[in-house]
Amino acid sequence: MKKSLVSDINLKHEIESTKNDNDEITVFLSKTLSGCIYLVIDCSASMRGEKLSSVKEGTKNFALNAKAKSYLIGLIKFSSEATLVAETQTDLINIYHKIDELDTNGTTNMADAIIMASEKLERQNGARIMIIATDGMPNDEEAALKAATQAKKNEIEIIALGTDDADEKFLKQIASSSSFGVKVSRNLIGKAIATTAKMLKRPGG
Amino acid sequence: MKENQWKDYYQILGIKSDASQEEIKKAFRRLALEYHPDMINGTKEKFQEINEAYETLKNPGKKELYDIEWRKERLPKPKPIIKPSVVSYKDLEPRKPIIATFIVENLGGPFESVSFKTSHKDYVKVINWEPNEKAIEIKVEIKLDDWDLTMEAYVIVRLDGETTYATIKAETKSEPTSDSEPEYHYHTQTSTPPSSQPTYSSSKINWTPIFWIFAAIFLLFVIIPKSNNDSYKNKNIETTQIEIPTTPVTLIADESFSPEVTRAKEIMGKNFIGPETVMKHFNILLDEEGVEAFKKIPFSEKTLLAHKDDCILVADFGISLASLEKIFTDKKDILFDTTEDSNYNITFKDYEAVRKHQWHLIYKSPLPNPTYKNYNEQINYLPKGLYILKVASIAYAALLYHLKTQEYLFFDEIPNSNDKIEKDISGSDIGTIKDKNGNKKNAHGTISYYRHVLNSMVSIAFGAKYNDYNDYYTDIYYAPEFDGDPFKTRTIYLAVALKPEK
Repeated sequence: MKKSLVSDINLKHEIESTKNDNDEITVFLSKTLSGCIYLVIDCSASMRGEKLSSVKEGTKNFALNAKAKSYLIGLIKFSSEATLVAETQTDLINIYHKIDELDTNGTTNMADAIIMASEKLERQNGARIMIIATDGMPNDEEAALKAATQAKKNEIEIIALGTDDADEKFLKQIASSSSFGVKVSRNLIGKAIATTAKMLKRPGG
Repeated sequence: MKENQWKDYYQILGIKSDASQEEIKKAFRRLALEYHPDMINGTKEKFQEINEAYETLKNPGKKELYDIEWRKERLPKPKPIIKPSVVSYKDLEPRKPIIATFIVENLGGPFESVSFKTSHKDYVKVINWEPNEKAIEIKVEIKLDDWDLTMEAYVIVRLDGETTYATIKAETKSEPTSDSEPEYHYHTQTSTPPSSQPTYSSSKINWTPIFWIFAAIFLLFVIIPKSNNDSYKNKNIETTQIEIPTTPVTLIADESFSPEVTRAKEIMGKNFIGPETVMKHFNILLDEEGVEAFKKIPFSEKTLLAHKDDCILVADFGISLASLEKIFTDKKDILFDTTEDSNYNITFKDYEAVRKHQWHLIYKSPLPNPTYKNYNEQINYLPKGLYILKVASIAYAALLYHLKTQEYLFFDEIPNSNDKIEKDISGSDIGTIKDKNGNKKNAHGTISYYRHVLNSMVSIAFGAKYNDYNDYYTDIYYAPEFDGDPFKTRTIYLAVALKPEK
């Protein structure tokens, strides 16, 4: 059995729990880098409004906690095409700027986004993780699945979070394990992203 | 983490850290004999401790690991200092974030981890940090959400267990006449010398400063429970301008306030909850302005005599619900959910807001002559000279009354949020509360379960928040009979108090 880079907490349960224990952030000052993460955010037209605001808030929260666990964080958005928004880094202020600038349009080209994230991650050391947040089905389901399968072969962990029109079965298929594919109600999508930070292992952890 | 408390096994066995295996064995045998539970000096605990020390030190593998810990324990503790210790911002625009930068230096021994936390997480967030050779730079975003707000918040930083903190004072502008939404973007603002009053309040009301109370609560409920025992021993928090009392509070007797207070205490008897009671039960101090505020009772002797049985006279220190909640959970005899599973404590507006020091004369039963009317109708019915208390005040009063007399206020008034009375106060449930056996229940529907006013009070607080009450008035609403139609027949009880006369 392959060793997972992220801990297998009950993500769904964690997301739906109302416990708010992210008040204190603890950073272990280690010189070791835990790994790299790309947040792959659906910015298709249907994400407009509260959903995207929620995703932005959750993504910032995630970035903060991921940095505390010594991860580099990068950002890819996708609508009709995939766009690299930020290379992996630890400059959170810059990441926040980029997150604030995210806007919505177009369709759901998830496959290209997965391919882009995989190519970026393949060159990185340590744990390599991709977190996808979406509210719908991709333009080309088969291509997205194929890209995800290839990424997983290259030891990239995929966590897939969805809401609204996203199909939970599909999310589970593209995710590294079925418990990493989760569909939540739209008011929880931001929290879902933030919560995945809990799954990240610390260096050597 | 008490169960994992570190022990000095060398000290326990009375040997040096470079003792040979022979010496360790010898010391163990001697002490085991002396402290065996069957011996005069012996106790089970001491004997176990000696055994535990020996078990570790006799085993070379375990000893090696322990020695690493032992050496680490003997290193000097980290000693963090944060600069600047106070920053003030004035004339901020609502919802427009600004970023403050703090530098944390360590003047002590090495550390492995750094932790951040802020006292007002909805308004003040740590957004970035960069550890350098000698210091850690921390960026904090401050964003207030309304006009006319003043806030005093804390950024708490710990290096391993050692704590330091900085104070952030921020004020937003007064609302301009023409509405223009400020743009959302990041910019930094240089700090100005601290000058504002340390309050967190709406400036529409002239709040009295709560400096000491806040500082004491902060220490009691924010720093101490989160720190380990060692950091508590470090009383010299040199980095702050606030001197926090670490010794028990010196009580100021009610009688020493004024003859007026003394007389009020005589009249009200057990229905008097003076500053002394508050200080005693909450273990908090009162600053000079607070003492001043409570010297005058705003009710005539005649009024007090008329209401000595049906009202309680309470010195409201203005403690926030957030702090009250911590006091609740600290008292084992009071059943109260920590709300960790409750949806409703996260976004409650004014959950952390404090009020001014004031005397309340509160009816021990809800609105006299309750009527079968809905909330709004009952507000209209509110007799002249009464006002509706805020949730935080009523929770505060109910808690103190219980602590003082072991009796419950509003004993029979149970919130039942399943009564979908009005759109604005309906709700499917109002959070999780505990019944008398400590079992968690959803606080809706079943009236008979929750004959516990303290739960009710605070549940109402969260219920009110859930319904997004800006003014979070107490609405103890409950349906004594449904008459087959829960939406028609109901009683809403309002907790009320007499308006000050002078």
